[in-house]
Amino acid sequence: MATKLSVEKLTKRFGERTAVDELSFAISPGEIYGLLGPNGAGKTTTIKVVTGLVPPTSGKVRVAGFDPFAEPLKAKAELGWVGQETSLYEDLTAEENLRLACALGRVPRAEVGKRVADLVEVIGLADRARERVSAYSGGMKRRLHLAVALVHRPGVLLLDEPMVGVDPQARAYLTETVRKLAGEGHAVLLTTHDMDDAERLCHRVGIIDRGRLLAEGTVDELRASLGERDVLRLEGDFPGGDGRQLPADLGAEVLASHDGELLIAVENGSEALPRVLVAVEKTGAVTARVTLERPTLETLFLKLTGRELRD
Amino acid sequence: MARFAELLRLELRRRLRDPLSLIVWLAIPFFMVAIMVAVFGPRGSSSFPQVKVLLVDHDNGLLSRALGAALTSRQLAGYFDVKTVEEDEAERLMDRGDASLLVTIPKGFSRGFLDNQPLSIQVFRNPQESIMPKIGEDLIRFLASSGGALRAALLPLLGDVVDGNRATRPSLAETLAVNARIYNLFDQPAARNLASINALSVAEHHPERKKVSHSEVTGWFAPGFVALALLFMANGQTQDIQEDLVDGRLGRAWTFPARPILALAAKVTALMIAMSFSALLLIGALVGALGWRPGNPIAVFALVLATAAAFGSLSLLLRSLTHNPEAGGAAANGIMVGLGFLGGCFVPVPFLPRFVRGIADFIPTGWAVQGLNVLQGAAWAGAAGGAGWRIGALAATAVLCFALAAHLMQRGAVLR
Repeated sequence: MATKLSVEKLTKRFGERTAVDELSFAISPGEIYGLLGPNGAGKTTTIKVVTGLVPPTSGKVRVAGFDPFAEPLKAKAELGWVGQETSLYEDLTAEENLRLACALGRVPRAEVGKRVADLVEVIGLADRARERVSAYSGGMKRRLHLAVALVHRPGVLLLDEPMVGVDPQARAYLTETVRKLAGEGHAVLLTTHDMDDAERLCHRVGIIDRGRLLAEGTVDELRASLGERDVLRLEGDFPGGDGRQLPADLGAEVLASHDGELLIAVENGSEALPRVLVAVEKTGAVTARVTLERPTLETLFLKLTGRELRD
Repeated sequence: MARFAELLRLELRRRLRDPLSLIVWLAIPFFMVAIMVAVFGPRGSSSFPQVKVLLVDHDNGLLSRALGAALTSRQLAGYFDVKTVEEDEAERLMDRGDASLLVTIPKGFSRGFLDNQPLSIQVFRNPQESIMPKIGEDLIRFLASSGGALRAALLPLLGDVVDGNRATRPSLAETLAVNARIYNLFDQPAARNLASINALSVAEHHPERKKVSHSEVTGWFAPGFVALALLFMANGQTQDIQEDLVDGRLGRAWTFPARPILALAAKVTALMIAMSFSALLLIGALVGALGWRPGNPIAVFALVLATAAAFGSLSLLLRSLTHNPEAGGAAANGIMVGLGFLGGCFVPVPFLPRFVRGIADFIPTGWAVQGLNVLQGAAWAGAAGGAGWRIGALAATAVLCFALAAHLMQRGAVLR
């Protein structure tokens, strides 16, 4: 299947700082691809390059086969962008915001009226379409925000942290809509620092940190990369530091250690727990709390970076 | 073009829906006119600019020089700028409108004064001005009247001296007699009619060149006020655009398949229309309330449009160099106020320190103010040509600043 969006060895530097470092991924029609990483990982910079707002230092981006810098209008005709904040004109009505987007989106004049009417119907704002946006609730603004991005019927949707600060109702609406759009054949790039969003929505996930892609695959593939092991999360005081002094024959792998927390991967966690605790306490540590977990994307991120996603 | 028209329509609608902005647009002109009426109106007090007087002294005698010295005395120097020149130079300067009054002292003036002959001082007024020549004329009339009174008091003594009938100084009795005459003159105003010198010959210098008859003081300050109003509006209105950039609305517009310049051009055009509307309202108020005659309406309209475009784009450029509306406002205010001062928005250019006067011909505020001066036919507009090139320069400034601002804003595009 032809890719709708491809990014190859994309690098973007701002002076000495490298925001994106040889990043590569591709998204097919109907696929939701999640770019998962903490704040400052390079997700928004990647989106800025894809939308043609910021030129790359090196590398290649293609949107439906078009280079956003050589053929910006053709590339942007295939792109719809939704950010984490609702950048709407609050002093205009929903209908006017959509008309404005139609003018920018090169929607043929004869189709504008119908397209606007259809969209306000789809987002459930038909009866309030002529009210100013400033009078809308947060959820209504979210829906309109998404509709504005769809006004020119793009093939690729860029969702930059769309769930941040969203109430559960709007979150459910967005989740459902994104799935529906993918079902209709849109390629979706979703950036997030929330592993739940990535696990719930994405067909494939790329884990990114400091501009580099650390791992990529389906959620199951990524989990499997940790092996069929459980994760013991130990909280307490670990004067030995990172727990690396645990005996090698314990069959435990220390995934990460920070802020009074030790993450250890073991086969059959419930059986291994007592001997792990004894071994840990022999190093002089005092364990206050233990949790047995299934590995998640966050666990993988911790293993890969030594940091949590929220850091 | 249809897309641009739609974007412009929506931008204008946004502005009209902001009640505070709308009130400010409408209030600025009336606020400015109220200030002018308060300052220059009938009950107001104002410090007038110096009256420029040219003195042609054909007599070059003791008394003609005394008249010149009186005008340049420390007490009068703050109010009169007197220059003694040759007749040709005086003609040239009056033709250029560089002076309000030309005073010609005839040959034999001093001798005639001492000989008690009827004397006349010729005074030519600049027909393009109304208040300044009148102030100058009144002073000359007062000095002439005083001279006449003095002669009435001193004539017997002076006559004796001139006739050479006395080899020695006046006696005490004679001096007291002169004193008595002086007191008599001040006690009995009718006695001053003895003086024959108070007949002034007053005429307008080339009256056929008279172009304006409106209040001169309004004419001095109105162009600066109009330009100043546009400066403030430019700064205020561009804040909205910077907020659109910082809040990500412009960045979002640039993710659509339209040329990036389109969205920004619609915003700047809406701003220009709003500013021009307000400035024309101000001009209308100045015309109605203070009798200002700004000149050819089409040319004034073109100049106002070009000024709004230039100031708006310049303010946008200054804002595009900063990262938030507060910093942008501070930068734009500081620089625009400086440009306003140098361009004659606060104080007319001729009153600025000599070393900065020439700068007005090279900056947008100067082009706007001097352009309006030229259009109203003001004599003080300077010799740098008509309004046409100034409108062109303002339009070029608008295009250049807009292009630079658009480039910088796209580089700093924000997606939120």
